[in-house]
Formats: sequence, C-alpha cells, structure tokens
Amino acid sequence: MKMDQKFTHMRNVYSLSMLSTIVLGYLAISLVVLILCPVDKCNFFITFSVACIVLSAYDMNFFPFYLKALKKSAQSVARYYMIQMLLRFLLSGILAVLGGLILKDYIKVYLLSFCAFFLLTLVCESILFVYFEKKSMKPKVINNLLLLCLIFLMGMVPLNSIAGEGDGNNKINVQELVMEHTNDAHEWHITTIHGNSISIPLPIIVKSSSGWHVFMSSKFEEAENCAHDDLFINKDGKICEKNASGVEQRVLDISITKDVLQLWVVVILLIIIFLYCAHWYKHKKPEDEAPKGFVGFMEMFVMFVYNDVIKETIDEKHYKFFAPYLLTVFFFVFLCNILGLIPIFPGGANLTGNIAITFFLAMCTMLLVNVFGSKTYWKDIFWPDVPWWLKAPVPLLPVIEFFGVFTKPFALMIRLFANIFGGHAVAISLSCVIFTTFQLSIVKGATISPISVVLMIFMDLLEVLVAFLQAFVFTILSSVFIGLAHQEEEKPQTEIIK
Amino acid sequence: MLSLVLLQAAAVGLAKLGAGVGAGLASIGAGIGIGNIGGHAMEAIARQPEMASNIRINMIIIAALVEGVAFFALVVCLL
Repeated sequence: MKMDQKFTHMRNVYSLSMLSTIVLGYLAISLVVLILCPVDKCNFFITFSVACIVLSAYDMNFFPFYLKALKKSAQSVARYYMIQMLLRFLLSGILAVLGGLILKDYIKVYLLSFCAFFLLTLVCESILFVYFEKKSMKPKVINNLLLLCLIFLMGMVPLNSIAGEGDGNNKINVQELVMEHTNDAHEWHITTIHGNSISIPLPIIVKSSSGWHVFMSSKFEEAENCAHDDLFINKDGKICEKNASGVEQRVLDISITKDVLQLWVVVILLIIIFLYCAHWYKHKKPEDEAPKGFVGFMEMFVMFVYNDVIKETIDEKHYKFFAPYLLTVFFFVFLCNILGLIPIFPGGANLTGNIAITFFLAMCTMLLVNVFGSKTYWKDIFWPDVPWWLKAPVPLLPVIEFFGVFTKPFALMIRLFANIFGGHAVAISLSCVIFTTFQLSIVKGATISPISVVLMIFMDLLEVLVAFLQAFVFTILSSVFIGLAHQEEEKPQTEIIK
Repeated sequence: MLSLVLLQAAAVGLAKLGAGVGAGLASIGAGIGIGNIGGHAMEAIARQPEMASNIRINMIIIAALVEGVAFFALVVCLL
C-alpha cells in the first residue's frame, strides 16, 4: 500500500513538473524568437511545435519503464536512465536534422530554439531524477550520470556558434582577432548583436599642437574616416594629427583606455577587500577566536605569502619595511590575472599582458632593491671578493654585475608579460578554431568543436594556475632580490672549535 | 644569381620559418630544463619526504626562472 501511494505521489510530481517545464519552456522560447528574429512565422512555428511535441511525448511516456526498473534494483534504474538519455539524444538529433531540412532558410534559429528546448527538458529531468533517487542510489552512480548529462550538454555548445558571426562575412583572421582582444583600446567592447557592437566609450584626453582635447571616443566613430577636430587614427591605431608641413605626428595621449579602466576596477576591488578584512580585526583582541569565512580565507592567503615568502627571504631587521609592497604586488598581479580570465565586463581586459604595466612593476622592484640596498650590496657589485684579474685592469666582473642590476627586473617583466599574454592568445586562438572549422563545413565544425571546447576549458584552468603561479613567482623573486640587497657582511670565523 | 632572386622573393616566408624554428628550439630547451628540475626534485622528495614542501617551493622558483629564459626567446621570435 505504501509503495503504491509513494509511486502515485511520485508520478504526479513527475508529470506535473515535466508538463509545466515543457509548456513554460516552449512559450518562453517562442516569445524570444518572435521578438528577436524575423522569421516566417507559420512555417517555423509549425515545425518547432511538432518537434517539441514529439520530444515531450517521448519524455512523458517513459515513466512506466522507470517504475518497472525501480522495482528491480538501483542498478537497473541507472541503466534505464542512461538508455533513455541516449535515445533522447538520438531522437533530438533526428528531429533537428529533419527540421533543418524542412526549414532551409531559418535553420539557425530553429536549431538554436530546439537546442534550448532540449537543454531545458534535459536539465529538468535530471533534477527530478536526482531528487527521486538521492536516497536509494549511491552518490557515485548519480555523479556518473550527471557527468554524462554534462557531456551531452557540451555537445550542444558548437550549435550556438552557427548563429553567431562568420556567416557570409569574410574569412576570420585569427591573428587580427587575437590582437584585437589582447591590445588596449579606446572603448570597452562588450558584445556584438546583429552587427551592432555594444561597447562602453571611454574619454580620450590628448594634447596636440592646438591645446588639450577631451572628448568621448564615440565621437571618433560618428565622424567619417575616424577624424575629429584635426585628430585622426592612423593605420597603427594611434591618435595622430597632421602638423603644419602635412606630416603625420603623434600627439600626447593620456586617455582613459580599456586598460586604465580595468586598472581602476582592480584597485577599487583590492581596496574594498582589504579594508573590509582589516576592519574585521579592529575590535578584536588576540585572545578572540580566529576569523571564519571570507576574512579567514584572506588571512590564510596573506599569512601564506607573509610567512613562507617574505619572512623566509628577507632578514629580520628589514622584512617589515618591504612587506607592504610585496603583499600589494602579489595581490595586485593575482587579481589582475584572474580578472583577465573573465570574458565580460568588468573583467576581461588584458592588463598584466600589457608590457607597460609589467614594466612599471619591475621598475618599482628595481628601485626598491637598489635605492635601499646596503653598502655591502653595492660593494659586491663594483668590487666583489674575487681574484684581482677579474676586477682590474679590465673590470670584467663589475660590468657583468652592473648589468645584472638591470637584467633581473627585466626578466621579471618579460616573464610575467609573456606568460599572461601567451595564455590569453592561446585561449582566443582555440575559440577561433570553432569559427574557422565551421566556415569550412558544418560537419567538420561540429566534430572539432567539442574538442575545442574541452581544450578551452583545460586552457582556462591552466591559466588560473598560471595566474597564481606568476604572481607568486614575481613576489618571491622580488623578495629574494630585496633580501640579497640586505645581506650582512660575512664575519671572519673567530670561534675556536673544541 | 637565380638563387639570390629566389631568396629575395621568399624573404617574408623565411622570416616566419626562422621565427617558428626559434620558438621550437626555445620550447625544447625549456622542456629539457624543467624536466631535469622536476626529476631531481622528485628524487629529493623520495629521499626525504619531510622536506617535500621546501623542495617544492624551490622547484617552482627555479622552473619559473628557466621558463623566463624560454619566454625571452619566444618574444624575440614574435617580433
């Protein structure tokens, strides 16, 4: 009796939720299509409705099999679910192809909307399945099934790229795209819908021979030939003017560009995070409990850098003086790298991959090391404790050591720049693979795209690791250089060894 | 005489070929170097597991230095 009641209850919940999802999903997708896309309404909607009805019928009719499997064992339920998902995928494939053959013109819109419907019902079914099976099945089996779900979901990703750019346009120039995404710009481009680009225009502040000009970069686009007020953008993308003799000349450009805005975002974030954490400690005594949650995590992070990096490499007398700079550098570089991985505003500008930023950071380190270097440090550079023939008459070693003062920060700069810039370039190129293979043929595109998506996910995870690692290496090398500049002179051994 | 003309015509292609070969060689160097570091670090950790964390930090620093050198070559090839 109880089992029957339970099954009836289950069947009711299942049918009701599936039905409501199907109906709501269908209505929502139709509404979106109606508003956004100009389609031949009758034809498209008839095909789309038929496909949705077939898929829903398939979904709703599987319940008796599910009950039968439930009565047998947990294993058979898992097997049932896998078979059902596989057949569902095949059925959707057939429906998609048939619909595409019928609607030759609106194939993209149809594929997109059918995809959305398929995903919606898939997600709803999986949620129901987990909800019902949470108690009786081992978590490992459920995790495997959800992973299968995820893989099916990923197979849908390439279809989205059909509806994007690249159809009817010229060939996708990968190098140009990479440069466009990693270089600085006078506006923050967010997305492009139907050929209209949505971007945030940023102010341009230049000083030319006719004085200061301050205006928004949107004015550059409104005027023809990208000119405004005798200023124009030359072929390298820099702002120039034609001076009296007609020759192109660069102007002094201190505009707020994309990188500058991103820099401000990072700075504001850092200030908020750290002042919040510092404020937590204000009214607590050392005997109180340790912080939990976000403040606890930040304390762990900061103490990791403080104890394992700064205290280890710089000697007792000086580490407190240099600790603020080193901690700031670490968190600034780390946050910049992480924000560079987020594809949308307020992240996504390639800040540490800009050599000017890394140059400035390396220069700060160089100044700190050399201005505050002890006398021993400078003596070791210009008159080291080595055999006389390396020092005079031809100062070999002093010259090498002097160059070392400059090459070490230079290496810091290049290392950070190349790591981050390379990571971004590879990620963008991998996503361009999807576009270029789709331009060759849809079949080639559809097969390569899941691999490209997997590679991109892997690259993104690797870049998160690289973000942390490069920040860590920059900080530890800076602190090692600072520590080397404060070494005490070796005292001669005077103890008698007994 | 003819080979000079051919070389002139192929100048751009030769530049790209040079860049590619340079980047490849740099990658080989970096691979060998970091592989060496990793191998010796593994042996050291196997000999003395309690020093693992110390060894790991040093390994990462040195690997970053070696990779920095490889990146020099990469940047030169790109330009």
